[in-house]
Amino acid sequence: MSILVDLMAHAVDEGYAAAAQRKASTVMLEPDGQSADRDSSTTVRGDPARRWGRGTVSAAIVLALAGALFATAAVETHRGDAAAKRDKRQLVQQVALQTAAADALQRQVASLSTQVSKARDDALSVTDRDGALRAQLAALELVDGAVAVEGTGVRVVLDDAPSSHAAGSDGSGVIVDSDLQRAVNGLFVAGAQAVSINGQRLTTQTAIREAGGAILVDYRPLSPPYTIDAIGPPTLGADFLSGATGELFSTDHLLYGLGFTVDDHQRLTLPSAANVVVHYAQPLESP
Amino acid sequence: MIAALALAVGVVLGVIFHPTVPVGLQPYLPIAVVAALDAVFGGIRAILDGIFDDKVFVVSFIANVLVAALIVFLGDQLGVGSQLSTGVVVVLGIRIFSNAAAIRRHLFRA
Repeated sequence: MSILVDLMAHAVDEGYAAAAQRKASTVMLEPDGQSADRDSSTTVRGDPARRWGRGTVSAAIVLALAGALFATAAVETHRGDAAAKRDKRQLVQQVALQTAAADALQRQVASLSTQVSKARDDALSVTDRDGALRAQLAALELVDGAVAVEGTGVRVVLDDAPSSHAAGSDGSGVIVDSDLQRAVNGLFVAGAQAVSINGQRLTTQTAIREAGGAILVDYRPLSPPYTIDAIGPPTLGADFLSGATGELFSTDHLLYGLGFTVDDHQRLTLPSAANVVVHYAQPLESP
Repeated sequence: MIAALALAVGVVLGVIFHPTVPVGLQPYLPIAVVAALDAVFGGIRAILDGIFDDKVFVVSFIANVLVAALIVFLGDQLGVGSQLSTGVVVVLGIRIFSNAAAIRRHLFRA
């Protein structure tokens, strides 16, 4: 406490008081007499006047130095700001650029795989005369997400609660990876046959997981709102809503303001999965 | 008058030339700024108290800046740099505040 009190009491440099005292005592020590008035006046007028030159100049220089220091510090601070902003902008640009490049490659993959399946069908048409093999292939492709499909279905939209983006939010009301997993599982339980999230078709190998606060579906980061399209029987929406998962989300919607809508659609189109590669499993050897 | 002019000239020079601070000195810049602010406010208060002295001002300014930087440098070498900078900022901040209060009392009589 005494340090603080001391600080408050002696805020101004004690040198000033000492200098003032010295000056006062010099004036006092002037030889007494009738000329004291004139002497002291010349001291006051003359001596400081002489020092005005040097002292003022040095004080002015120091003040200019202080001004330059302040300006430099301010400029330095804001230069850092600008650099950080520029870096961030560049990073965002790079991300957008690379995402666009990845999308282009994805489209290329899609068109190439169409060519592949066409070439395969052409090749099969020679050996597979009755089309049984091709029919089997088509059925399998439909199930494993290798081809784009369409049909009746539901669109489930999940979104973070608006309050979750407010400052000081505890993170409740934010959609996490397990919510998407639960929703997808609920849809499959209700009879869905093909599901996509934000345009990413799900296969048996698709991972839904979270990394650094972003939900990755098939290792692609998604941002809310999450649109889950599912193709299935006409009762899909009703069955999903009355199921355990639907009821859970309805409760969360009421409690936390979580965005949750389920709409029936007469015609939904789901894209094919990006790449279905089986590394380990092999077809059974024909007996 | 001259003082304000000198300060303004310094600011203008700093903005125009914005000298690059060597990387090694950058951690001391904020502390030097706070020390300089303290000296300037102390000088203004001394003027209003009628005890201003050029020499004291010049010496106190340079010494303040150097000592503040030195304390932080020492702290950096001993691994308590950020704590000591906080200490310097708190002490000088209190001084700046009470000097500003004294200046306010002089100017507004309140």
